[in-house]
Amino acid sequence: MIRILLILAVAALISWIELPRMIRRKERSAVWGFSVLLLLAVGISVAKVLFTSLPTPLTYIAIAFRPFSRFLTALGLI
Amino acid sequence: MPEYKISLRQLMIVTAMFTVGSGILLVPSGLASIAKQDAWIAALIGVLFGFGAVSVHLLLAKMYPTKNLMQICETLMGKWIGKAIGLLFLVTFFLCGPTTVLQEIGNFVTIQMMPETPIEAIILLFGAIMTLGARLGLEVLARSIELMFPWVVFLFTAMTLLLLSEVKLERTFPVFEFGALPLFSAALTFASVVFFPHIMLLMIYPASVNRPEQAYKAVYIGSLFGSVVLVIVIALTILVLGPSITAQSMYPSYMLAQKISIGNFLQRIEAVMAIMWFISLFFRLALYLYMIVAGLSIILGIKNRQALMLPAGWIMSTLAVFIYPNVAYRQSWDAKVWVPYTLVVGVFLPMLLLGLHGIRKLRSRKSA
Repeated sequence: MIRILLILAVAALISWIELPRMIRRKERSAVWGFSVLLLLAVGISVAKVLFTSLPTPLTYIAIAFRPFSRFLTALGLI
Repeated sequence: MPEYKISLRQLMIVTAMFTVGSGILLVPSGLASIAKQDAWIAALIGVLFGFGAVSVHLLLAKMYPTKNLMQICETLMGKWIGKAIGLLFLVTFFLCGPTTVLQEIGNFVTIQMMPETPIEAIILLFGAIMTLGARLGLEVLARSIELMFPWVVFLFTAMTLLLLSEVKLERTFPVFEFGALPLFSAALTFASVVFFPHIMLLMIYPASVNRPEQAYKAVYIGSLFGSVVLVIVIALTILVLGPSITAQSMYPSYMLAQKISIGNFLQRIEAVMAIMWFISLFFRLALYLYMIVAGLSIILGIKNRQALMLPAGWIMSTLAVFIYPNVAYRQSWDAKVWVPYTLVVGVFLPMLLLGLHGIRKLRSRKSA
């Protein structure tokens, strides 16, 4: 629990550093992009705290490149 | 805020540091396990492959001297397809490039220098510094690279000279023992780690350089410098440690620095040498992060790219903790997925863009 609170505290700190200037300059798209990325970061961190073993996102890239990888292996290049 | 343009000298040093980057730590072991004692020949062939790829990138830069990679994608493929391909490219590159290298730094420090420190602490510290560096922007990064560059050159020259007494030429014989195929395979590995990611530099160099028409010189000289450093390091690992030890150890260039012993007095200076890798890895990672976030902000139409750096750096540091579940996964990933991935994004993507450019030119000529 304390770890999730710490994550939220860091998120609050980052928003406190970045958000006021963006709001003052009325950069709406920047606020959106910033919030989505921050939400993603908090989500991944909380997931890492709750579940000890997360699957690595590299798996999907590996699946997408499997045919090409097999082709190169058949050629003997990798 | 006016866009800062870097000078040609800065571009040259940026390219050199980017080339040396992670390769100096990661390449020798993989190369020696494929090509054995001919690893240095494989590295030379890899440099040739790499210059082929870099000249494709430069050709693309010459066609569009005022645009960066994401804008070139949008002009050539149409607005939405260009944006989608650019986003896919950036997200996958973010996962494969900076994140994995950050975990590699953590692995290196916990295995070789501070075995009792948890890897998360090291990743957090390095990730925070890199994020702050990227947040300050291209100008600060380019100037600090200029400042650090002499140190890297000095440490590298010192390491090379101090190791000369340990060199045994017999270790490279017999030359061409296993034929040509392992050489090409190893050369492809070399180029895929060192040169194919140069596609990312297209975010910087035609558009953010003060004299874009001369940029090709700076990129060529920088790449040449970086590849000379890497070929020397690979040759030294073979000449000093021998091919089998190089292939078996995870970080042979660190073992290389441990071998330095002048008169039983000047020895165990590997920590000083590790500073050189920290500097080069820091700049490669900070540049990756800067260029990826810059590309993302162009796709999303956000002018203030500085604001996105802190959350992006946080995502990078968190992902770095579990991006490779273990070392065996990393080795199979490097061998089986990384090479085809970089071939696609670093060679086929710019070639596709060049092809589209050619078709566009033909059609406009016909209609005119």
